[in-house]
Amino acid sequence: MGMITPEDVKRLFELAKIEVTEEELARFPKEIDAILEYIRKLQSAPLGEVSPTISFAPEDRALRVDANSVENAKRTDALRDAFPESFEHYLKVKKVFGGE
Amino acid sequence: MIHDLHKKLISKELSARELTDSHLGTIAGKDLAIHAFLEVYEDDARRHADRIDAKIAKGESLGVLEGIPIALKDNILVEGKRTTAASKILEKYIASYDASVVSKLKTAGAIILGKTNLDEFAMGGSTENSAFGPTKNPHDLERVPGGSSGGSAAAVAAGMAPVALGSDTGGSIRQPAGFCGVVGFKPSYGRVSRSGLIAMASSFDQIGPFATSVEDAEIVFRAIEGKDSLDQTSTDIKEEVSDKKEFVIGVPEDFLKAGLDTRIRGAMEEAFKKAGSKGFRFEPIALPNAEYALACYYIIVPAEVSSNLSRFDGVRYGVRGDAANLFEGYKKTRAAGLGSEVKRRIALGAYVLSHGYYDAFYLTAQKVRTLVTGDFEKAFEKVDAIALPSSPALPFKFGEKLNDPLAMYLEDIYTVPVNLAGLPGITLPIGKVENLPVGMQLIGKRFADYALLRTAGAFEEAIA
Repeated sequence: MGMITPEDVKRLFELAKIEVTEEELARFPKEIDAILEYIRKLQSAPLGEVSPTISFAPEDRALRVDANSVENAKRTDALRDAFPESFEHYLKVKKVFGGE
Repeated sequence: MIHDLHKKLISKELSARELTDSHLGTIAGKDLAIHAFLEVYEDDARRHADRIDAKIAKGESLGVLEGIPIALKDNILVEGKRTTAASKILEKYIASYDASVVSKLKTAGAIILGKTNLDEFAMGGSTENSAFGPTKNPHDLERVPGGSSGGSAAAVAAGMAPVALGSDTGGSIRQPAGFCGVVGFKPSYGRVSRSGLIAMASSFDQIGPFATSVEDAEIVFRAIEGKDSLDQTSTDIKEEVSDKKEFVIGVPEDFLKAGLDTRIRGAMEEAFKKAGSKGFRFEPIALPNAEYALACYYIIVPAEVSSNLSRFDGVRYGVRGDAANLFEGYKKTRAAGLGSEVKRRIALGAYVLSHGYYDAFYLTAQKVRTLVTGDFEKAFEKVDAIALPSSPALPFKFGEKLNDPLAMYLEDIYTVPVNLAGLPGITLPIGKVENLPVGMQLIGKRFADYALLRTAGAFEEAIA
């Protein structure tokens, strides 16, 4: 019996901003279900009073000086070269609302 | 191998150009069949080799890695070069900066031969999830090289490169090293900078070397390790490595019962017997929460993946899907550019982080992570290193696990606990079963990387 329905899968992909095909809607619920069934075994782990592992990062994280970096400026051209669409030196994107 | 090559370069018995040409020749001869490489930098590599030969001619001294060819997994950025993460969504993406490990390798004078194949965004255990075709295992072309760093493992196994870099989030260096019969080392989390490594799961990912010997893996590790201001999870460690000649290896008997191929267990026992007469003692240990490690991993990692991959939206770089408005553009770009495994993990991640499920899944998994880490800490009170298989099974045939994602995940059972605890782990080849390579892991204490390498080097010698 499925824990996850095609409706659930549709909603998850909506959240993740990925368009999902009919073929995927037929296939994914079963595949994801099998995985969810397996990870549910975690419910029987003896947790006791243990605290969650939030991070492995070291304690002494430094902040950098708040100053302009010449290095970063050099990189701007390389970043702009990667723009899928540009107008002069601006990144061009689709309008937010409308269309269809 | 590296020390030998270095001596030959200095004595001019071999030129840097000859060394590079010889590896490019091997690639040209074998890679059509194996497909370890996604891109080969022939011209750049030859030019670099020529520059090094000019140095040698002037009598200048050479660093140990100078002139040594190396291959890089294609989720590591090299400035000005295509970096695809084996995904259609980055098919034409040109990296705008060098990964910190690449800057270090360039400073060390290593010659970058090119980029190797991987499972898309490093998600997988076979390299079958690459959007650009799979890599074959050089030992048997009908079998997988393992994954996700299958290309790098195969490149070293096939003699295309003496060393290579891979990345390891749940076993992606150690498992393919085992499948391809080479050494693969995953450093402690925080030992090597992740800046310029395309992120998969940020509290797990580590870059590490593939090599044909522990000594060579250590040389590469030494060149790439160290605190980096661009990676706030990286740290400098001053290790005191003892020069002892006897080692105690922990064997987690209960955990080894979890579906391990008996032939692999047999190969491990053989190795234990050989090492037992050369300064190694084997102690049973318990890892009581190891049975939950895989489930724990497949909750936390998809959660981190769903966050890390949200940047691939077609806006600033990569493929951009045609759409009427911005949000439709995100959906179409990501649908067209991302493969099934990646989509599945993003969906899983969204699920376990969502309201109503967060406590039951994600928070619980974070607590189990603490338990797993604690098990290892306790075990290391009485042993120097812990032995585990690098995989529960021998290298499988193409297609065997593709229709069953969970079956593919179960292949990671012996590697993921190490990433959960942030520990260093190294795979050593320990022999063959029916002509297929078998690997074994040695796991060390957190931040005791050089100590682990020393133990592994001694073990490698003991079973030779």
